Amino acid sequence: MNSKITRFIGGQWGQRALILLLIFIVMAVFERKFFTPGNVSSIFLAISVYGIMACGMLFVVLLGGLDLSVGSMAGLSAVIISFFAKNDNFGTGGVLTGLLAALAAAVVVGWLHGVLVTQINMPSFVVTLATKYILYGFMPMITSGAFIYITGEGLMYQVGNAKVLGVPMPIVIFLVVAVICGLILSRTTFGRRLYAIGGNPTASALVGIHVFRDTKIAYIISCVTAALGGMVLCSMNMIAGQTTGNGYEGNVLLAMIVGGINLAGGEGGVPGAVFGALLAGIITNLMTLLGVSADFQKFVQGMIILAAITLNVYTGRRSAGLSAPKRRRGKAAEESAKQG
Amino acid sequence: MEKDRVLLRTEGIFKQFNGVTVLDDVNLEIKYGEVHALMGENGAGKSTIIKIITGVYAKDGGDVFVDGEVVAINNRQDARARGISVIYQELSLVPALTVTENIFLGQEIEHRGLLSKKKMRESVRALIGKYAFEIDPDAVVDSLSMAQRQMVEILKALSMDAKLIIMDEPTSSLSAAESEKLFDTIDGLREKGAGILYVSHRLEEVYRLSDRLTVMRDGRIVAVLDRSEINAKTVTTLMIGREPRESRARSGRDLFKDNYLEVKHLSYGKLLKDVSFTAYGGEILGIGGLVGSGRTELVRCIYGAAKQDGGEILFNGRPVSKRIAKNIRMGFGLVPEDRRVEGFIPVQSIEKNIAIASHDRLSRLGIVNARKETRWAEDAIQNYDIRPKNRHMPVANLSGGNQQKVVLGRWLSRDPKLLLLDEPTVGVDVGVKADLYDFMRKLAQSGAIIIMVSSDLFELTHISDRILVMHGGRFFEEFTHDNASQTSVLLAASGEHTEEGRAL
Repeated sequence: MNSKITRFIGGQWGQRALILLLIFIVMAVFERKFFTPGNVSSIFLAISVYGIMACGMLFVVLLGGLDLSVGSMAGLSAVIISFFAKNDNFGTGGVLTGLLAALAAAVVVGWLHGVLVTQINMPSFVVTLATKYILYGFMPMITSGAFIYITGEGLMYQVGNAKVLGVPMPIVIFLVVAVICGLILSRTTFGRRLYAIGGNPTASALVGIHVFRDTKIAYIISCVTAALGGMVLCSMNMIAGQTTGNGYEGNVLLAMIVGGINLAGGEGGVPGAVFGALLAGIITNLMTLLGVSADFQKFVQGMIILAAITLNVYTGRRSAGLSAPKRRRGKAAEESAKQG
Repeated sequence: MEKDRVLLRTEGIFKQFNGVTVLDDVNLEIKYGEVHALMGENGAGKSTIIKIITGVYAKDGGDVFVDGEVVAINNRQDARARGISVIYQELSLVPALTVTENIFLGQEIEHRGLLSKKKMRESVRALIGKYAFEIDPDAVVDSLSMAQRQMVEILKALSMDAKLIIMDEPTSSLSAAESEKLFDTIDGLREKGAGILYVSHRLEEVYRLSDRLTVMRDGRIVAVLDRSEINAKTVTTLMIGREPRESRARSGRDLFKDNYLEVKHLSYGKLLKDVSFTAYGGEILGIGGLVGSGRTELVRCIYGAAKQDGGEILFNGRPVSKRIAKNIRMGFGLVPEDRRVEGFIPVQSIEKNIAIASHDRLSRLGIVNARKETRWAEDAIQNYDIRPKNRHMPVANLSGGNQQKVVLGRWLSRDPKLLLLDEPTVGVDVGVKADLYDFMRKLAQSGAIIIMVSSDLFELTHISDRILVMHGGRFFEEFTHDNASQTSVLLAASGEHTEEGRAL
């Protein structure tokens, strides 16, 4: 029993608990407003969107990839849904049609990411950075450059503002997404395969895993959760436009990193991503309460990302022997072996 | 550089690793204007002596003389300053740069802080002219053939005034025509008085090139042969030493004729040309041959990891699938050559590594039955004595032998019908080796087909029931367990017919 406690304190979760505790103590001393029910609920509302997106992006990060398009994907989804909803006067039918269209768009974009990363062997951050710009360029064609205001108290309003047993709907959606993603990763063969591919794609292929197919699915999941995040975001703000979701990929990335997800792939899980989102949300909220300007908040975010990565490397969770050589025997190597 | 003068000499070189003697009293001598071949089995000490000469390892005793003077070579720079250069198997060129830029990488000629491209190009031209190489100094390395890249490496060495050029298996990635070009290059270097230390497994190259041959075995030099004394029989006998003939007698095996693999006229790139054989359940079929002779590609084609250009592979009369997953469900398994890169997932636990290939049996509708998975792994850890007996331990933290047990256990726990093993005991300690052989034997007795590629001649001749030796992209000779000797297998691998083997 005793050793279990020491292991917990020394382990990843112990460290996480410690970090949260420290922040709470600091807050209790310096900023009374932090613990007011209104503020706690606003923190959770803010992290629900990051959290939803982080859960999906986790699938890509586990493969050692990144999806920098999630912010723009959320924006595109918000715009598409609002566009269809507006034409139907924000009735249920219009919202559902919009949601279907947004999800379809997400599947297409995610699949495209997967194809470019696997078949063309492009680095994921380049591919997703490019689609980020493409999607932002595409949005004005739907909105005609104007904001779409969501009116009425229909389904769209409910998604952002209703409560289930006193819990705001965005948080409920976040929890549902987190549980589903967590179950997929921990209980399904697909989850097992993702960890294997992230840990060593060559060895994975040799035990019969369709590496390319599973990779494509991971990229699709990342875009689909981003689209869901976009829907929640615009229904909370009751507005959708070109700036919706702008820069959210940074917050999601921050959540990944402070959540201890190994960016090299193969290690991490939904609890880490959720914790990361929570911590990122608290830090942002804290800065707002302390009156830190939005620009300076970006500065702090960047510093935290660097610090967290440094810490990760420094503590050497992946010692030299643990880092698997990645994608060494790709198609090209296969061909050159053939040339003999 | 006058010919026949001694360029480099070592005297009584002694080296230990962790108390194990790997080099003992090594006296090597290389003259100006000679191609000096160095042969020996894996682990004979060839690489170690080279690394001592080039300053990669420190010696524990003995002296190195260059031009008759004792020299201290403590690092690569020292070696280079003494005119000793190595051309490594894995080339160290930057593909995006030109020939000239690569040659002067790190030693660029500058003029007032700017690169003096003209001067560099001129000096490369002069070198190319002197040795009559066929290469354009402005060509980007990426566009060159492997043989040309090797020329660039050699030019790089020459530009640093190398007098001794060490080549370690330089033809392993070259085609026959490219090799011939390299040999011409080497002839040219010899002509100009350079000394060349040529390490190779291939007897025919040694015949073609060398003036003298040093043979090493178990960390010692066993013979230095003059050109006229070099012949296959002598060299292989020297390399292997006396063979232990005891413990080799065994009774005939029962073959399971209803479980068989037929390979017909298989071809793959330049490596495999018209390979045919049939393997039956109950036997361990050993595949011998030199490194790079296409053995790995053969097992990869059978497994579905590589696509053959021609020919048929039939398992119990039915064509084998091109999908690995499907073949695994049919009962295939592969223990790949480089387990670190291809065999296991280092960050993941023993449990996950063993279960990863058996989700077809451990899940329903895509949901993993975690309890079954755990039991599956616990059973494998128990049955195959994987240590430590902790299913949560990341495989990266295990010893090489236990890592291999994990990779093998992954398949054994499925009761495979066809198990392909590619160099199964490389880097595995003796105790675990015996365990692995035991598992293979038992699996064969249960009716499975086992195909084992190995460069370890002892393993090949002692564990296999039958041995097929590859040479030149074909099966060259076949040996039964009883008439196979290490010498005859090595001879056949070098393309020499033997009395013991049956020519194919």
